Amino acid sequence: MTVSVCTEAPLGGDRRWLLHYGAVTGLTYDTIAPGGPKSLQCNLLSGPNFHGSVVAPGRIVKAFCGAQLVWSGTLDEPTPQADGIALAATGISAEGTTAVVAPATLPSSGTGTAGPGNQFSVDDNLDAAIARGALSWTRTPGSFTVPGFNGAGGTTPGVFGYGDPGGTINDALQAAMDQHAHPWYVLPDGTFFWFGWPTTPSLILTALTPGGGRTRDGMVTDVTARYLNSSGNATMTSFTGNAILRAALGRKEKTLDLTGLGNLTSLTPATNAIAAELAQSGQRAAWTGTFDAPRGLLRTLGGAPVDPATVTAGQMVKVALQDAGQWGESAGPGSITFIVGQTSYDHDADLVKLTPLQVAQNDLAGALRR
Amino acid sequence: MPDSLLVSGGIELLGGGVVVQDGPAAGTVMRLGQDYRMGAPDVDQDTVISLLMDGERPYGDRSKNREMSIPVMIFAPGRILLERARESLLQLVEQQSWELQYTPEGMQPLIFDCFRATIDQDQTGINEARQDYALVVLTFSALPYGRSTDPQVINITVDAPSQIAPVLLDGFEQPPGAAWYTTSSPRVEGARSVFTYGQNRGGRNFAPKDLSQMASIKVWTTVAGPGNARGYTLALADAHGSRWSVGLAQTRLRGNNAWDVITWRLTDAPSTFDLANVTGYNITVSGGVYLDNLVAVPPQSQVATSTRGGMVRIPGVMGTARAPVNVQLSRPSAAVFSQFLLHRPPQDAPELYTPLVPLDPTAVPNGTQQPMPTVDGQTGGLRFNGTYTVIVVFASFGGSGNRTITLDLRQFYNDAGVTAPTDHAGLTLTGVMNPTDGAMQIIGQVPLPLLDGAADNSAATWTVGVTSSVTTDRICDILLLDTRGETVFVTSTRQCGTFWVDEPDVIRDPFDMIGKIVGGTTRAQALSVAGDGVLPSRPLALDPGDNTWLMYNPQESPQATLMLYPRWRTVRLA
Repeated sequence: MTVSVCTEAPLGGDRRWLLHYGAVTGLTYDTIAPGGPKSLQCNLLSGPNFHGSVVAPGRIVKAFCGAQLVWSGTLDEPTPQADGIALAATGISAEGTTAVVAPATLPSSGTGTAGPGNQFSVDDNLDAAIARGALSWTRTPGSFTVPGFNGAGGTTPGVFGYGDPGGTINDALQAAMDQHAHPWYVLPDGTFFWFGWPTTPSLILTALTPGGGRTRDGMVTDVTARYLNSSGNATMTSFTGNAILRAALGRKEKTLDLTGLGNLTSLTPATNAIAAELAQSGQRAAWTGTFDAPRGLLRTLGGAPVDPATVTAGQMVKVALQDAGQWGESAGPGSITFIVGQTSYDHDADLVKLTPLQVAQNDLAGALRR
Repeated sequence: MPDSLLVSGGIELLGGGVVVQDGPAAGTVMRLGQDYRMGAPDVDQDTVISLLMDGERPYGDRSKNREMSIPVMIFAPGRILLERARESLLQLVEQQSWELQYTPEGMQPLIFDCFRATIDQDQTGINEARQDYALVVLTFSALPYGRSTDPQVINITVDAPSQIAPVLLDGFEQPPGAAWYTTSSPRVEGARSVFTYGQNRGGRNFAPKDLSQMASIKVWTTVAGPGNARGYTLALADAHGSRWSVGLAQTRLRGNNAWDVITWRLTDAPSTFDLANVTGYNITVSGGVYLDNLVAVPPQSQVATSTRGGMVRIPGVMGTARAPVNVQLSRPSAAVFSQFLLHRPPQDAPELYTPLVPLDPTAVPNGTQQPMPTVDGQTGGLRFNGTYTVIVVFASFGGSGNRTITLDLRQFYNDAGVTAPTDHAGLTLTGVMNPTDGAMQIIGQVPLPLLDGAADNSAATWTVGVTSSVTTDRICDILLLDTRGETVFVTSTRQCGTFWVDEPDVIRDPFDMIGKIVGGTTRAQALSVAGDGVLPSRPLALDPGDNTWLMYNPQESPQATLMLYPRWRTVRLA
C-alpha cells in the first residue's frame, strides 16, 4: 500500500514514524466538504504495554502518500489493546470549533466591513484567530489553483450576517455556507480557502454498487425564509423552488429561520440563504449510502487512474452505472453526478468510500449538522 | 559433499548421520525423519477484485510465512545422553528466532529464519526411549524466503554513463533464421528489428565476445500476431563448444508497438561456461514477436539523467524473490549534503516512465515549455499511468520570501488527422514556496496521463513549463513520483557526508517495520534523519533481475552502494 503515518510535537518537529514502533493496521481517514481532513483511525501493533510518547495525545498526526501530505490532525487519547494501541485523531478542519470569533470592534459595525445588522468579515476574524495562534491554518487572499476544487480563493465573497461575537469560527464558516452557499476547505498543510461547488465533474467512477439507492428524505423543492423586517416585525418571503424537481418527485417545503440576523433592511441575505439551501438540498433526490471506489475504478475525465488515498471531498464525480436511479435527478435522464460530501479511505482494502453531498442525513450527527 | 540441513548452526540432520561434536548433545546423532515439510511462501492476496464480467482478479505481491515440519530422530548411546540431546534441541528451537541452513550437494547454503517451534514429543514412547532413540516433530513458521549467506553488492554512479560499455550481440540487420524477417518499423533502438509470426527459433554465430563483465542480456520485444503471452528461451555458446541454456523468460506483452524489455541474468552462468568468449546465441519464441537489439548490459546503466541524479537501471539482481536492500549514499565529490531522494517505481510502471524531467537550470522561469526526456530512444508514448507527486527543484532562489510557482504540463496528441479544439491537453499546478523549505518542494499531486490512449500509442509527447513570480529564481528539475512506488525523501537539518537507508532487522527488532535512515561521517557516528523527511510505506527492496530507481540530490548526482542478501524460494542458485 501507499500511505505512511507519523506524529509530531504539537508545535511541530520531533517527527516519528509509526512503522518504527510496529505494524500499522486498520488505517482509515476521512475528509469532508465543506471542511477538510475530518478523522483518522488505526491500530499500532506495538506489543502490549506500549507507552511511547509517539502516541501522546495532542501530537500532530500526518499521513503521507507518495511523499505528499494527504491528511493531518491532532491525536486523541489512544486506547490500549492487547497487542498494541488503537489510535484516533481529529482532522485539522475541526480547529474552527475551538477558535472564537473575536472582532476588534463589536457590532454593529463589525470588523473591517460595515453592514446592516450584525455583519462580520469572516476573513478578518479568521486572520485574527490565526494571528492569535488559535488556528494553525494559513489564508492567502486571491484565487489560486487547487486540483479538483472549483474556483479556489482566499477571500470571502461578500459580507454576510452572523449572530453574536464569541461564537466559534466554525459557526461563522457554517453561516457562510448557509447564507451564501460558500463552502470552504482546509488542506492538510493548513491552507484555508473558499471555493464554489463544482458544476462539472472532474472524476469518473465505475460504480460497482448503486450508492444505496435514492430517497426523498432530506430533499427540498421549495424554500421560504422567516426574518425580521426593518421595523422588527416577523415576515416571510415567498417560496422559491426547483420546478423540475417538484414535478418529478413532488413538493417538499422548508422554512429557514433568519430572525437571528436582526432587522434586515434588504432581502439580499434572505435571498442568498434560500439559494444556498436549494443548492445543497434542492437538486436531486438524496442518496442513501456510499459509493465504493477501489483502486482503478476512479479516474480523471482523461482516463488516468486516481490513487484512492489522495481523493478529497468537494469534487464532482460522474457515475458510470446503468441503474443509478436516474429518476432522482432534476436535470432528467443523462449522466449521474454527485458532489463528494465525504471520503473515507480504507488503507487495508485500498479503496475510498465516497459519500454524496446530498445524502440522507439520517444519523444524529447529520441531523445536528443540518 | 552431501546435502546438509543444519539447525541453529550446530546440529546436522543430513549427511548420513553426523555425530554432534559440541554442547550437551555431543556424542549423539540427530537425523531428519520421514515426512518432513519445508513448506512454501503462502500467497497473501491483499485484495480480490471482482471483475465486472466473470471472475475475480487477486491483487497483491505480499507473501506470508511458510510453515515447516521437521521430524528429528535422535540416537544416543544411553538414556541420559538421549534426554540431554532432546532438551538441547528443544531449547534451541523454542527461541524467538533461529536459523535453519539448507545446502544441497554442490550448491550454496541457504538460510531460513525460523520462529518458535511447537513440539510433538508423543512420537516417542517409553519403549523407544529405552532403546535410546527418540523422535521429535518440530512444527514452526519461517520467513517466506530463504536468504543467501553472502551479500550481493552493487555500486552505482549516476552522473556518468557506465564505464563498461554494453556488448551488442545482434542488431538484427539480418534475419536470425528462417521465417524471420527484418523491418525498419516498428523498432526501438537499432536501425532495424526482426519479426516472426509464430513459434520459431533464431540465432547467430559470431566472433568471440567478452561478456564476463556483463550482468544481464536484454532484448526489446513487442507482439506480432494474436494473443500476448509469450515465452523466450535463450541459449549461449562459447568458443570451447560449451552450451548454456540461460533460461526461459515469460511475459504478457502489452500490445502492438508497445515495447517491453526481456532480460536474462548472466550471474547464474555455470563455472564451465566461458563468458569471456561467447560465440553465438539462439533464441526460441513461443509466438509471433518483434525483436530489437539483443544486448549484454553491465551491472547498471542509465535511463535518464541530469547532473543532479537520474533514473538508473540496475540489472542482474540475484535471487528468485524480492529482497530488502541497504543503501549507502554519498556525493562523488565527497562534499556534505542534506537532501536526497530515492524513488522505486511500481512494478507495473510504464516502460517509458521516468520520474526525472531535467530543465535548463539557467533559464528564466517564464513558463517556456521544455520537452520531457527521451527514454531508450523513444520520445512518444503514454509514459504515465497513475497518480504522481510533483516536486519542483530549485537550482537557486532569487531572493527570500514567498513566491508563486506555476507548473504548466502539456500532453500533445500529434495527430493531424483529428480535428480537436486544441492540439494538446494541459494541466496547471500552482503553489506558494519559500526558500526556507529547501531546494526540493512538493507542488501537488496529479493523475496522469492527461488523456489516456491506446496501449500502443507512440505519438503522444510531453512538455512542461515553470513560472515563478520571482523571475530571478532558477528551476532545474521536475520530479514526478508515482504514489504506488516507494519514496525516501529526506530534507535533513544536518549536512552529512553519507546517508544510509538500512533494511529493518525483524529478527532483532520485530516492531521496527521500516528500518532506519541515518546520516553522518561514518557508521559509527550515524544518527537518524527519519524525522526530517518522508519514509515509504514499506522498506526499499530489489526484485530479481532488472530494477530501475531514481537517485537524486539537488547539488550533485549521488553515488550509491546497494547491499542485499538475495532471497530464494527453495534453493540458492548462485
